[in-house]
Amino acid sequence: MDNARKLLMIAPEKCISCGTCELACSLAHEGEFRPSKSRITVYRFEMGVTIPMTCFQCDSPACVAACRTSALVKNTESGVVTINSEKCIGCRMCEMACPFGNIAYNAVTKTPMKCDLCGGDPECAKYCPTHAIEYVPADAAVSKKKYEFSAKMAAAIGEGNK
Amino acid sequence: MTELIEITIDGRKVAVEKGTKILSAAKELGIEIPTLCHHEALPPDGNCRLCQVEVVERGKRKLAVSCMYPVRGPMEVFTNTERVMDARRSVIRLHLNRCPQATILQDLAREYGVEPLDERFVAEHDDLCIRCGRCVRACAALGNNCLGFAGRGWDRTIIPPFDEPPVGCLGCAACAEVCPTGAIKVREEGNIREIWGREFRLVRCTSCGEYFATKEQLEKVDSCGVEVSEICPHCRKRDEAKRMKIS
Ligand code: SF4
Ligand code: SF4
Ligand code: FES
Repeated sequence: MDNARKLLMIAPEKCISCGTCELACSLAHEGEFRPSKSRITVYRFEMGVTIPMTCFQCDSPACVAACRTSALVKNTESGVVTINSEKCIGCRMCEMACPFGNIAYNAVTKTPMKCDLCGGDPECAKYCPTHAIEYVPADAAVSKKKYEFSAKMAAAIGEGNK
Repeated sequence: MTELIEITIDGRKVAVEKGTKILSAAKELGIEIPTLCHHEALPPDGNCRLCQVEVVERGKRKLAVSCMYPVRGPMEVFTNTERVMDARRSVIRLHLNRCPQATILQDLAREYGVEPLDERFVAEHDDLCIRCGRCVRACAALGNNCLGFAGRGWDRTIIPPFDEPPVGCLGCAACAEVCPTGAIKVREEGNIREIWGREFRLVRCTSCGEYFATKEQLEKVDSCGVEVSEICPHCRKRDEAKRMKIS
């Protein structure tokens, strides 16, 4: 089961700050090129350091713990934290709960915006010109050095959810 | 063990678990039935009557409220007969008489060919609440129970206990989010959010200084076993990226 899991591997050192991932994401999810509606955000720091940030699909997700209607669930097979917008009552508990700010409630569509890995074919990874974002099997990711980033995240998440 | 029952909806067959509501069975076939009081997250209440369909069961043909009516045995369902359309039209007309300014009802009226009301009547009646109780059920789903029905018949309304600013309210405005007609007003200005006559002082993000939530909302999240900070979601995301940069 677990070896079927794939995750987004982000290598910030390869990111050239072009913002293509944000455009691809907002187009796929909201039908428009609008970074503010993207589930992935590219942070541009000084000296050319850029970090793309999106949902970590936590192992014990704070958003799921906060959602009273099971609109948000952790899929045990794929590991993805999915949202069923029909079950959302717009309380914004998830938005307040996520320690990493990875969910934003969209009052127009009445749906929280969070990364759903595009149902298994993430647009950001597909269009990133430098492969700074890759969608890889979880075990392959672990074996690579590049996985450090995700591992760091996992550690951070563990702390955040204690 | 779940028992599967095969039924027919508009001539198409579908097998559903015993007890499934007709509305959900139809959805499995991609057949849409209009609803107002129904919400997927909330227990059904069957009060708006818009979702009626025709059911033939044990030789009897009748109208049924599809969001409440369970599949118990073989049945045939029709969602678009003349009788169903008539039922929908009269339901829409009734709701429209109460809330002529509700756009969702105006849209339904147009779609189903219900003749528009006199403009003067519309202008004079600004009640938007159709008494569907979605707000009541949403608040209950959050475990807060701040809202309820009061009065009877035409005078039935939705109010907080004793019609006073609700003590247990989080100011989350989920009630306003699920309201199909936009009847519940939320006012937000500076550091104040007002709903149901209660004013909430908003919490200021310790990082950027934006007002982003009520204290009660954050406490509620905390009560779900999630440690919550007074940093707004935007800054949390940026801070996390910053941390990645340093480490
Ligand atoms: S806003 Fe929707 S998804 Fe988020 S916690 Fe509330 S009901 Fe769940
Ligand atoms: S305020 Fe809105 S949700 Fe509540 S009963 Fe009225 S119409 Fe329904
Ligand atoms: S949706 Fe079924 S009665 Fe309102």
